[in-house]
Amino acid sequence: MKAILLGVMALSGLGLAFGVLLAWVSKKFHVQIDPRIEKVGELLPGVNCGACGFAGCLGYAEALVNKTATLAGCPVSTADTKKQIAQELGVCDVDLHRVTPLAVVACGGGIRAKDKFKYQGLADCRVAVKTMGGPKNCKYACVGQGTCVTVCPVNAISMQADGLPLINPDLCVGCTKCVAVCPSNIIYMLDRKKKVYIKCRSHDKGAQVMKNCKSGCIGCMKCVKECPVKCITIVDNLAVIDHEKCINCKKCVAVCPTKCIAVL
Amino acid sequence: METFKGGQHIDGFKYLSREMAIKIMPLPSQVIIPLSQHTGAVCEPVVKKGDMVKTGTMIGTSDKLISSRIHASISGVVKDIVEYNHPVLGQSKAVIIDSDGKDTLDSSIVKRTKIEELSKEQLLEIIKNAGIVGLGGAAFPAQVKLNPLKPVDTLLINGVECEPYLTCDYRLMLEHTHSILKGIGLMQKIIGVERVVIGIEEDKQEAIKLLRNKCVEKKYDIEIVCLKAKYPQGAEKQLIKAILDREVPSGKLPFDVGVIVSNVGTAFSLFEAVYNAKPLYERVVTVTGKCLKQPSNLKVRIGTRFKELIDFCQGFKEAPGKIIMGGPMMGISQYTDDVPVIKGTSGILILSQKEVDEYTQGADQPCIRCGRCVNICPVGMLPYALSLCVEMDRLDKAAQYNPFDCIECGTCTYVCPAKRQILSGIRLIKAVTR
Repeated sequence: MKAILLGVMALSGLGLAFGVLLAWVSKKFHVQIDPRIEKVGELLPGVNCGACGFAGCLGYAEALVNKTATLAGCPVSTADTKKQIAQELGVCDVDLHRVTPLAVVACGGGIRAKDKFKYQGLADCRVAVKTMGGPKNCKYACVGQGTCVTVCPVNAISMQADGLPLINPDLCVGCTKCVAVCPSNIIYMLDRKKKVYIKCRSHDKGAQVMKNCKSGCIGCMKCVKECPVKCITIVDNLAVIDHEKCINCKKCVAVCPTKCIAVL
Repeated sequence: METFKGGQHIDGFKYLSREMAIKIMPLPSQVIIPLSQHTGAVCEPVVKKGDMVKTGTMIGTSDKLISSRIHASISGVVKDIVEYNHPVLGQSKAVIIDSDGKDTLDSSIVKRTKIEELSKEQLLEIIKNAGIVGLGGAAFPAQVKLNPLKPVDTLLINGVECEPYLTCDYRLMLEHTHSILKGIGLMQKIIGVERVVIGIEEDKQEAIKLLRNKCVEKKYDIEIVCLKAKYPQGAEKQLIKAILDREVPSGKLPFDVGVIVSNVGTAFSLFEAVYNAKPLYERVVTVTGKCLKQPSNLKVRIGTRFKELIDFCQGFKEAPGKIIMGGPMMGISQYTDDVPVIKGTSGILILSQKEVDEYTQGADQPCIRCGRCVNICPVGMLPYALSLCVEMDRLDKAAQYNPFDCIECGTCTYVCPAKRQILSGIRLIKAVTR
């Protein structure tokens, strides 16, 4: 009985002593953290895509609070969140009406583009394009190994049965990672207000495109003639839309013989 | 027996073609001569559509330092200069020549006499004009290689031919022994070195014997070293390590340790260029594979289509799966047989569909950390780690594993029990982090 009592007393004594010590240490060595960092971090999208150039959203939040970064750096946050963050920090350095751009795939090839050979190497687009100039006859085409799918931080991209990646506009946060990684340069950023874009990047001559792919731009000029605001031009055998001028009338979509003008 | 650390003995399948004497392939009716067949700047064509050319006429040149001239391999008419299939680059500009069937030699091709009187500069000029490149695989311009920036004390001649299936260098050593030795003599004179060593693997005893006898007979002061049969012994840096026990530091070249390595095929073409004034317009190509009816070693004009070579070997026994330019380890697989032979084509290997399936089925399993790739890596890298970096999409992490030391021999991929495509991954890392 005495031994038990002694043990209980000794342990309680030790516990009390350490408790006091720890309480004192935590007061003495307290690190001041700006509470705003945590708040801003919560407001940021939290996908840690790295598009701002900082180590994740919390790193960016710290930079925002320390005023070493501006709100324009985050392509993902919506105008509303940016407004909230700006209020939190007491700054207004950003165009709050900016809408997140959307990544679009400018290739309609996939199974519609003729194969040069069956690629059996490492499943990575960057390797595939270097293999004998890419597995497709069209050298501008998507090689369909899905590297954009792997790098997307929000799983907005998926490979479809037609051999092309599909970007889900509801999930895309506009971080541009897929644009940077695509070795064929067929993914680009489009303003969300714009509804029409050219789904081809081939500068080959029309006859060559016809041979290589069922849905490539052949430079036939039909869209150029149809456009009421003259925003389409043919540059080097490829139709190019001046998105500044485009009024989303979609007239060009209807006349395109190879259906290479896509509607969002 | 001397060798280097790492590497692996690979079943060579050389029996298919090693006893086949070099046959001269009949003249093709058309040749496609790509303007880029070497390491360095692409040549500009100096002929135009409709021009008459003779065998050995120069058709492409470049004023860049690292480049090599290109010559017509048959006489006839230039049909066109267009983009055409290329066995390495996929597509490249090429001169297409229709043969007139006469094979008239260019007026510059006359046997030279008084070779001893030629100075080093004259010899280098001859080599440059003849468009000689290293025939070991990389096709590096010979006039640049034989004029090193630093003093050199040893010339290594590579008669290793460690790549499985290929036998063209072996046949050359057997059939043109004296010419090769004369070519080596010329190299020796150009570089100005005393010591010459020829490295040959143990499985080519006949070539070793023949070269040794010839050296004694003709009083050449050349060492012939027998090496253990192991892949990749024929890689420059590994050969230097095996024979001279010198290590070429990371990022440096053989002449930094006082060595120049050259192939026996290059020595032979050098002999032809200097003694017979013959530019490099034909070479020996091994056409082999188990599914081929008659594997052979052929002397072929540059620009002959692969298809014609295969037809000359009487076609296939069973369904072909892959056509590879070069050997199975470092070769480049082709998507069509309508590609021309270029200066760097040492062989054409045809694998049957069955053999291909053996390698491709169940490929890319997870790494089990068995360490085989680490054991065999001839440069002492950690191939599995690089492969994992690719799998995890952390290419930024790969730099710490020194990917640029990789000589791309492919032994790691060969030994991997999980059939991971390790080398492809390393190539990707090199391309992305460059």
